[in-house]
Amino acid sequence: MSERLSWRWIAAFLIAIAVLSVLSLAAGKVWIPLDAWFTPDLRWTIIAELRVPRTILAIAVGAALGMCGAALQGYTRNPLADPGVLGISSSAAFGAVMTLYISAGMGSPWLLPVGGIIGGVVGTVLLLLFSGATSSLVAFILAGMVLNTIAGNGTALALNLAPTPWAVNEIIHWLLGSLVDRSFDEVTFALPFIAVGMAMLMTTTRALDALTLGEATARSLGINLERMRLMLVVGVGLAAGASVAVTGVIGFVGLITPHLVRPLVGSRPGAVLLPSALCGAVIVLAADIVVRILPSVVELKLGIAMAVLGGPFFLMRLIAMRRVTA
Amino acid sequence: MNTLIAHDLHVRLGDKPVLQGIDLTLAPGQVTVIIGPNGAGKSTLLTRLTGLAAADRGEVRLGDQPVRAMPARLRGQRIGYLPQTPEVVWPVTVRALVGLGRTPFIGGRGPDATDLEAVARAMQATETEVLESRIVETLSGGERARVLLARAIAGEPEWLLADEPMAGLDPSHQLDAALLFQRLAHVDGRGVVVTLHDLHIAARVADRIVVMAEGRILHDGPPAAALSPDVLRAAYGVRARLWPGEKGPLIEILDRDA
Repeated sequence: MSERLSWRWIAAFLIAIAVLSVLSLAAGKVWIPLDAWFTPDLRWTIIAELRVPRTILAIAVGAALGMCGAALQGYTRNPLADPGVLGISSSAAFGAVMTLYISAGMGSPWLLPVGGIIGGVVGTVLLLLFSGATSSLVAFILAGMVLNTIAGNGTALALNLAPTPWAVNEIIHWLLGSLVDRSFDEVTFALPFIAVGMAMLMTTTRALDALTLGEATARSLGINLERMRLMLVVGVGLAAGASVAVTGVIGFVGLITPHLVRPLVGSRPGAVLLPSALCGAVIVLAADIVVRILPSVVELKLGIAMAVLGGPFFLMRLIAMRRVTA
Repeated sequence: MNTLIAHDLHVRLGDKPVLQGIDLTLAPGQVTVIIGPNGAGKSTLLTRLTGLAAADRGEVRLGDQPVRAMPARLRGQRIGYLPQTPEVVWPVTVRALVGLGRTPFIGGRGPDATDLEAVARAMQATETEVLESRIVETLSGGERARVLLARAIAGEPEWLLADEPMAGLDPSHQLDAALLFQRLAHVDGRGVVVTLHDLHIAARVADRIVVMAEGRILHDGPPAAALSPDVLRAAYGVRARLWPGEKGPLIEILDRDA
């Protein structure tokens, strides 16, 4: 596909984000019409204190997860890779869950996200240690699976042994993934990590392109695979780790976004990164608006909504693939 | 253009000694063909010549520079490599794939006019322009091989090292590829090193044939001398007879050497 076509789609995604942002500020239990904005109306507080940070986080987290998924699929050359596969998401979740044990009596709202980001960073370091000095892809994927298993089991164990059932209940709800009641504190906390992580991922585009031809050829084209893997893992660790730290686990975004983008901008893995970020932002923003306006008593968790949508999406992909190969 | 020199290369993979003391001085402006039985160490030698992997002992130099010490990007600009079974993972277009050959040259701003011209030349030389917007997965084996060859020459490297580049090509495209290698060497003055199994193509394209067996160089010289019954018996363990042909010897494999 031509570069020009790709820019057209990037512009389309940006417009979609702008439109959805306006909708995101207006939509919810309380609909706020445009004429109530910027007035000393009480409803303006809802916009400024709740919906603006919620909208910004939806965009940032969606972009981070979409780009992480695209980068990991490009690197592992596996269309099923996402931050979950590497164990980064579960490490961050494990870090957040561990705060159960130190939160007794000091329920600071900062504790959970800080635990999450520490978990994400520790998981990233472990992943690099597990996978060794070489750039072997098999070792890398196995290391991710090992980390994912350890962190997942650790989370289960920690919840099992937790001292207070109320805290467990709270944290399970948090783990399901949501953007409800997030404030500017979460925005200022997560945004720098996400921005740095995504910037690191953007440095890998040329290497990801060259990897289309396999590791030996990429190396022969002057690509330093060890360096690119470091940028990729740390980039994903920061961007996905910070996302999980503030929103809980929102799965499937990283997995499905690159699949939606490739038919539009072509399959060159480096060219998929930026559109995937924008498309991820559109998806999370749209999904977050939908869960808000669904007429249910309890608001549906964003992470659950994505998971519910993700399953059928993959079934459709499978059917389409079987039709091609049949 | 610089000479590519292998000095006393030893490589052991697991327990198996794959290269056991290779000394080779390769001159630019020539097509050097490496032949030898399966497992002779041809591909291992090629990856060491490209600087992609280290030898256990000995070193490879380009001019007076050890290739392993060259900055990866600079090495990528000067030494082109086409592996034996090149994979193509994503369904990218032929044009995008050939463009990847320019990777070592492309800076932060993306491909410039020089890059686009080089890609166009490579596609013209391999007659792949008509395939330009096809998805690589939909190509036939021979079309794919030509596109991958175009990728390898798009970087216009001083040295082109290709592992079995003729496999899967029909006779007419084999001839085209042979002529292309000769043009790269004789006209452009580049160094071309190719491993081959087909002895007739080897005879047709080579200025020099290096015969390998069990990690050693068995014979090294012009095609007429390398493709003699004695050398073929020593390398492959077969009895062969040579018949005079118009463009080179015709090699008839009679039977296994008892």
